[in-house]
Amino acid sequence: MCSIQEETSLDLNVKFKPTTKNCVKCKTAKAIILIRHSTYCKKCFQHVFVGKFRKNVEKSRTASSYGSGEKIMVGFSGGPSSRAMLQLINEYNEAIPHKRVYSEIVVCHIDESLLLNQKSTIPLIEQSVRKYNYPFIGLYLQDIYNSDVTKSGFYNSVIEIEIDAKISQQKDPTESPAEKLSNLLNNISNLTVKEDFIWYLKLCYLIDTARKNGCTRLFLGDCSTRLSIKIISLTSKGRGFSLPLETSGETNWFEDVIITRPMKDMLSKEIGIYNQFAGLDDVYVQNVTSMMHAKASIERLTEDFIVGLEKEFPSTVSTIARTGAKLTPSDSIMKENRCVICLMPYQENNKIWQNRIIVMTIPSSQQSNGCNDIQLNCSKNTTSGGCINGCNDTSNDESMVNAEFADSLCYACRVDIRDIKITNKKIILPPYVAEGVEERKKKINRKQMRKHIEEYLLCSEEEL
Amino acid sequence: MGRLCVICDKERAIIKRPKTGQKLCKECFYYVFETEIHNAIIDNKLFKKGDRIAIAASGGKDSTVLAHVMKLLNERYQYGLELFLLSVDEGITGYRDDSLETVKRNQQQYELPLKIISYSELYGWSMDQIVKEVGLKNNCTFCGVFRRQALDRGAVILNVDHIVTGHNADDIAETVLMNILRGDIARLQRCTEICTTGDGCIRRSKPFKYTYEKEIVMYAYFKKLDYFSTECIYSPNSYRGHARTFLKDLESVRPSAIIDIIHSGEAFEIKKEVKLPTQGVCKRCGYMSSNELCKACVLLEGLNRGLPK
Repeated sequence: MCSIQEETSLDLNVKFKPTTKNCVKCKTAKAIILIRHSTYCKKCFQHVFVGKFRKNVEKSRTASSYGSGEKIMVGFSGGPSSRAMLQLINEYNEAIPHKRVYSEIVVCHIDESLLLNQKSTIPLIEQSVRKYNYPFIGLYLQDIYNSDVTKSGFYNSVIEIEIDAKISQQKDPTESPAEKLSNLLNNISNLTVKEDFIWYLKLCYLIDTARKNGCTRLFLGDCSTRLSIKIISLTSKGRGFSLPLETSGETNWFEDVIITRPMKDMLSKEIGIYNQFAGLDDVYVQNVTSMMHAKASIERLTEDFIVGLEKEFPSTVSTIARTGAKLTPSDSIMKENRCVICLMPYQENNKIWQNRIIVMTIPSSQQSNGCNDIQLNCSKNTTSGGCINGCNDTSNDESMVNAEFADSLCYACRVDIRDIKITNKKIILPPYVAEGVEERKKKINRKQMRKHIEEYLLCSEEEL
Repeated sequence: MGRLCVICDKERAIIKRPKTGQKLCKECFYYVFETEIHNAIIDNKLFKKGDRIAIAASGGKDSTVLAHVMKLLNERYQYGLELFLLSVDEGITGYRDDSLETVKRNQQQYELPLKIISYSELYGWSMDQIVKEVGLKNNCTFCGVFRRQALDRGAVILNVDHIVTGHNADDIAETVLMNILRGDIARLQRCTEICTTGDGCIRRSKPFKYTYEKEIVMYAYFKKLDYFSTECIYSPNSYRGHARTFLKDLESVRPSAIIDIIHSGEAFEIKKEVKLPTQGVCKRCGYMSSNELCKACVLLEGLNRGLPK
């Protein structure tokens, strides 16, 4: 309580001194909270807060074909936003006990403690959600390396990238999942890349777990502050093409698992106040850039920038979030053009785009490959490189595999891979990535087969 | 020491390229720098043979290098363009009068015809007078709005088909960020276009769209190009200042961030139901405008009435 009043009065003194001290909604009670330019009393604040949540879930419910009785999964990090979200979902679902909106609610947490060599977060998290009596799934991020975290459920090859940038598909090596993950992340010194990898591994794991548990919807707790940071950081990392999918209130990009973000309209400040009123404790989970300087990574820098700007201009977050909401996934998105690492769509021809505006070689110089500073490059002595940066080379098997791999990545993941400096043996990418590469290869093969016999076919591909 | 250039493998590398981190010799740097600009021009079919092109020249680094590179590429690849220099004199003592001297020197070095068009002859107000009237608060709005039109009018006088400006990759990335921060969805979509054409207006393009500011300075430095490098004496916009600082920080975290932002910006598509302002023409001056009167006419009316807003 006291900390909230402190925060409020602090804000009042800084810039926007409202003329009225009464709640802007009920106009009678004394206001104790300032959100942007409006003051609220406790009751009205809670009412408005819960209302924003309901509006978002109801919108997604009417749009959903499942109607009532849907089985859902709640992605639960333990942070303030997912903590509030779980409470809100519970209240919403229990409002009319005999007519529940969701038939079953599963809470899923992914433990990342391996990254910082800390104690597992699972026991603490399990305890904090126990009172809801929902089935709880606690996963370890390293288990993304299990052969069953794949579409087929038993894919045991992996992608290996060696120190000389040789990429190969290998039968699953004998190291433990924990060894493989720490080896991968230890080889990534660049924190921007590390954060990207951790996030997409987590997302893929969540989607896979939801799918295998028969959940048709995954709730993620991104609040508007978080989303506005994401909008800027995704833009800065070249992920503009997939940005609408990664920040929207709802997306069916993963087909059988719909992602919903019911907290998208709440500021992190509102969530903090709500949690305090409701007596909800969050679990502090450290991540790889916690307590680091602002320039540690793009994500971290963006967070610093947005939070700072929001202090000076209190409508920053909402303006960014509104701008982001006006963007839409492109019509040119193709379901089969899915990046094998982040599973987000990639644009056709983005490699050509890159090669034209970043010239790395002089065509006349025969032996050069111009990518010496970049680890993932093609072998020397070739006329043009088949490296990850897109010099087009198909002159030997090795660069063939490299080129194939590069072709199955989105622009931003290719930038990420470029920034990995392998210093220790090799890195291993999980089976789901290897499965994606092979699936893509098969699809291309089939396309070629089809082309070969095209004139004898009497039906289109869909009819088969 | 004595590391060889990663492209030619012959000369000693003397620079680390800001865009890629490659260590290059001078000649290879010139080659990639110029070729990327050539690619941007060719891939986007910016010009056709016989076009008359005005280079917007302020005397600053971007436009000085632009004039140099345009002349060079025009000769090397035989674009067949007729080039002109076009300068706007905003009437800022101690800033523009000095930089215009640089433009005049450039004119002689590059042997290109030069036209200078001034705010006072176009609008009856110089920036110095405007600042006296409105103060330092939104004077940059006046300057920005007036300059856009001034360039077009200058282009009409020169009878050219096309204006090229020195906007570089940093400027464009910064504008992408600014438009997200300001919520200006219409501009967000437009700002990454390399070439814009208003209805019946003169085409405008940015050959430096993918060129890093640092590399422009580097190019000018090694080629010993003569340019004027003083900030405008009237203070810059503070909100944009935040975006600029952020972009510089991003670049230092990951040099490719500038290109990555432009890549993102090009991929953005706006929901069909979002209303965008329709572009019409100004009732008073006939210039393109999304309102009844164009911004310049509105500002000018305010000035002349003595009621600046």
